[in-house]
Amino acid sequence: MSLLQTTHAPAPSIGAEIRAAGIYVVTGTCALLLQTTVLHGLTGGRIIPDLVLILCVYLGLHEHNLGGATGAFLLGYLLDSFSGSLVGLHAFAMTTVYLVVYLVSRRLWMDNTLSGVAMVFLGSLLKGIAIVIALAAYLSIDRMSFGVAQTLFAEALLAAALTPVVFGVLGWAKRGAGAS
Amino acid sequence: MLEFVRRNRVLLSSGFFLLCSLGLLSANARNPGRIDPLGHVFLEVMAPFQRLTAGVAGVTRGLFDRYVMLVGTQAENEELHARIRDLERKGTHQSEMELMNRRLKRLLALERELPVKAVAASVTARDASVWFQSLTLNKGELEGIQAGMPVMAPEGVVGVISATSMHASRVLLLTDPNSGIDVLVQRTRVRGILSGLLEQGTTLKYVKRSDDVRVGDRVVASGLDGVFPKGLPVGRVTKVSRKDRGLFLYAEVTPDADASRLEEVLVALATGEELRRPALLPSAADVGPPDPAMLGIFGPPAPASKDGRDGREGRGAQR
Repeated sequence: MSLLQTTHAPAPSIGAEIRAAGIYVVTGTCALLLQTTVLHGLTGGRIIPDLVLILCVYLGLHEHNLGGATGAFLLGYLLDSFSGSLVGLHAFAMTTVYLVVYLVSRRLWMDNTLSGVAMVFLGSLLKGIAIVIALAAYLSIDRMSFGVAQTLFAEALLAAALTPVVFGVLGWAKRGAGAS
Repeated sequence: MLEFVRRNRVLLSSGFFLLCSLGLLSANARNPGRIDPLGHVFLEVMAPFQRLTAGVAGVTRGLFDRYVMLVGTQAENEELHARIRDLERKGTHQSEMELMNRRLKRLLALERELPVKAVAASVTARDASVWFQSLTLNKGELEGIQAGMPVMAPEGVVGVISATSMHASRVLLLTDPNSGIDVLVQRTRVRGILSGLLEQGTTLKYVKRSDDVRVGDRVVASGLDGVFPKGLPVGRVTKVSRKDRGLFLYAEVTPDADASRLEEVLVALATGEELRRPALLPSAADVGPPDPAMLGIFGPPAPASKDGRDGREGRGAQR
């Protein structure tokens, strides 16, 4: 099997697309609820597994259409509404992650869990770097220690570790709803 | 043309959304007020779900702690454990009630000291990202809460309301990198701006290298920003460094109010002049001369900072 992706799946029906969109809305809402409540309690707030990012990478891998890009932007915007005060920061980072994952998945075969884990790891690093760069540009933060890199790396590892679970749940939900 | 758009629709739409994000970012970075067309709706829609999730998580955690962890031993000493559980439950409940009572009493005392009306609110959720520091409260515009209002705990300053909806509001904590509070070093009355670090903690900005700031110094709100009452405790200096080049020294401050442990806070329903009226909270002038031990006249020196330097390192460098 070549690494180059050459085949395209047949276009899904409108009903399937609506069901898929519903699944993404519910999953995104649940991910944000968990991130702002339960996961804070489990990790003490030092490192929070970014479930919304995993969903964004999933969109980049599976939704190559206008809805995918819109979903990534809205997920980022939703995160902005519950994180920090600079609106647009996460929307920018998530759209960037979606675009990069989309471009990579167009050229490489990305249809197994391991490649998904790798993309989430890289996507998490990319998101962190995009945020740090945007913060440095807009807030002129002058001090960044090694701790920032450590947090970035730990967050990416945690997100990658949770990828099989989130991808599994999404795949199961889409199959169940006839949206895959 | 249409074919080109259709073939590149993902790239074009992603580019469009990237431009939208950058536009939002630029507008919010330039404008002190929050430009957030959808945030209000998201906050209002998510608030009940967050309350529900937090409640369910609390109950589940309680069940897990009390029962699941004891399954192994429960089989051996069923009767004894039943009694222990009962006593533990009562004890935990009583301790919880006592703690809550104590917290609410302190909150009430703070409310009485404030020159304006205040609303007590519970923390229902925390920031969704590790890079920022914010809280979601269970009260919003219906209780009179508006953006820009100060949020306090009995220990001291917590942050500022950054967004509101009818039944919920968000607090930008003073440890967030985007926050800035005008403060005074209580002992020497040196002024600075307290801002959050991208890692944990806060830093005191724009303090001249020659200014007298030492580890252990108390930091209080100056009242000049028109947000927090003058003299309200903010934190304590934990690190001072004059080693870097530049006009200003580097000082880290640990906030008195530990936001990760906060469960209830007080939102003052006023900003600006109303809060600048007679400072009811003790400022340095109100409490008299500083403690000699704090000045280092006698007694042990100020506690050493994490890297082994103490507050006098700065004075040495100055000389």
